[in-house]
Amino acid sequence: MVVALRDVEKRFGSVRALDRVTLDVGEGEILGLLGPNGSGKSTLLKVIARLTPPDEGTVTLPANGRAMMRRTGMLFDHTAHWETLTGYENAWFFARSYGMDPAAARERLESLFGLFDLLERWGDPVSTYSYGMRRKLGLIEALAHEPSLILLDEPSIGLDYRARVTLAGLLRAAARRGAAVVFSTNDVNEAAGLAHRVALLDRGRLLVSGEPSALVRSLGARVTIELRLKGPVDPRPLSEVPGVEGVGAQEREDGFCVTVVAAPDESGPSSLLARIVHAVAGEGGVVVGADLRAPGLPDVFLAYTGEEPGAP
Amino acid sequence: MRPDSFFQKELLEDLRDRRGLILKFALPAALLLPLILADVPVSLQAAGITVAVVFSGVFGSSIGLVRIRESGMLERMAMLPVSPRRLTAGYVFANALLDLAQVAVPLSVFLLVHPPAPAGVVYAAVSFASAVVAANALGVLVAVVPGSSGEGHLYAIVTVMAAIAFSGLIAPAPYTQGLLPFWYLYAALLTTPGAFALAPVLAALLLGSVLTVSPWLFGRTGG
Repeated sequence: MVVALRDVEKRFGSVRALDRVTLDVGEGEILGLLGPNGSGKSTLLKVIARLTPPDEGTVTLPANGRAMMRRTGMLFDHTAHWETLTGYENAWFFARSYGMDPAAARERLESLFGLFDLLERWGDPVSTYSYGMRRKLGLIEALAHEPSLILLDEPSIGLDYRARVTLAGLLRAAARRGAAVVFSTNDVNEAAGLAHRVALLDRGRLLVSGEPSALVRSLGARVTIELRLKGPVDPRPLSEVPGVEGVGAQEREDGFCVTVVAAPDESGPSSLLARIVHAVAGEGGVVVGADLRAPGLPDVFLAYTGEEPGAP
Repeated sequence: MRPDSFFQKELLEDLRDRRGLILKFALPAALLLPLILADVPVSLQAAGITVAVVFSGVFGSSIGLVRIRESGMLERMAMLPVSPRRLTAGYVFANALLDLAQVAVPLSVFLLVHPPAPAGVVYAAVSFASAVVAANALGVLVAVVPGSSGEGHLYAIVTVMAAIAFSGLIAPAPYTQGLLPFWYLYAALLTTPGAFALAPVLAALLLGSVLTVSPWLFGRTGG
């Protein structure tokens, strides 16, 4: 275990920012912190980083003090940099402060600036950078020394699509080499796509944590598949498809429609759709259209918090 | 130059800010040279130089640090595996170096206009360096408390005024002036024998105090 939090509490005056949070993050794991604004995600990251000491509870890390700091990379929710220095000089300062030798720092920074499309601007003062470029620079600074604990506060905010893909690739690569990654986000789809495990926070409490697919399954919500067929088929054999719980059929203006209700399983709704279409074809039916309504992480978010993801 | 340390980073930032750099050098010269070249008592000139050292050191360091904290950079630096004492020392010495350079010209003119004995030059140099380091250390101490730039200005003004008054630069302060390194610079410029002796010791004490509180400055008290 890289990070182990036990009954962590943090109060700011009368506000309970973290309320008895118990959470583990393992080696090679990517944990997404999800929750409404003010739910305690940033505070939790700072507590793990030892920037904010908890009022109660314990935070256990594999090392203490500077040894742990050397192995930690953090992106804050702000974009603070040394404004008059260039992007490269900023990143160099952090890389050297994290103990990288000059040759390794040079090579790694060149690679990261290239990956984030900042090579052409690395010699410009940060004061001339856009918000997104500052976020990219912050990520470069957080990741350059290849930390084994990566803490990112809303890392995709301000990033263009290509940078998001780059970041996801870098985080997956870091996890493959054993790093523990903890990131907060308001983007439920980002959490679902990137995190091995998601922890849902609300008002400082950890509501639930688990693999995204397991959380979705735990809701008990059903997958609904509506197929439009060229002509009528006998829908009854479709109920034999594993996972299918109910089948209905009706003739409509736009064609013959079959509605299938199924429980979500580990193989995912796309796989279920493929099995249904295959079964329809086996009955001689020709599918001309399909509509899939599958529960996802947004439904988990709504079910636990009663709020739209990212709503103020 | 690529900054390998906080000391180098501070120097590089100062050198990059051309307008700020010109102002920092022009202002002491513009204020002090007319005073030094005017037909006024030497004590007034010595007090002027000492006040400039106190003002630039305390104000520059404290406001600079409060701004760094406001920007969020202090929080980022708290994550670095570098000891707060090393970071703080780098900050104090980088700012002191700049202050030494910016007051060095008026001070040199003063020593040319009022040439002391060779030993007096050494006294003045030692007490000057001590006062500059002490003023910057005091500035960092002042920056530990305020939460905003506005509050920082207030604390800095109060500290500068107190340092000037307690150092006996306005009127003699026999009970306190010997406890602050600034009076020793003032006295050394007036060629008071042995006046510089305690200045490095007091500056070192102030610097030591700053290094002691530096973990609080960087928010690293939680272990």
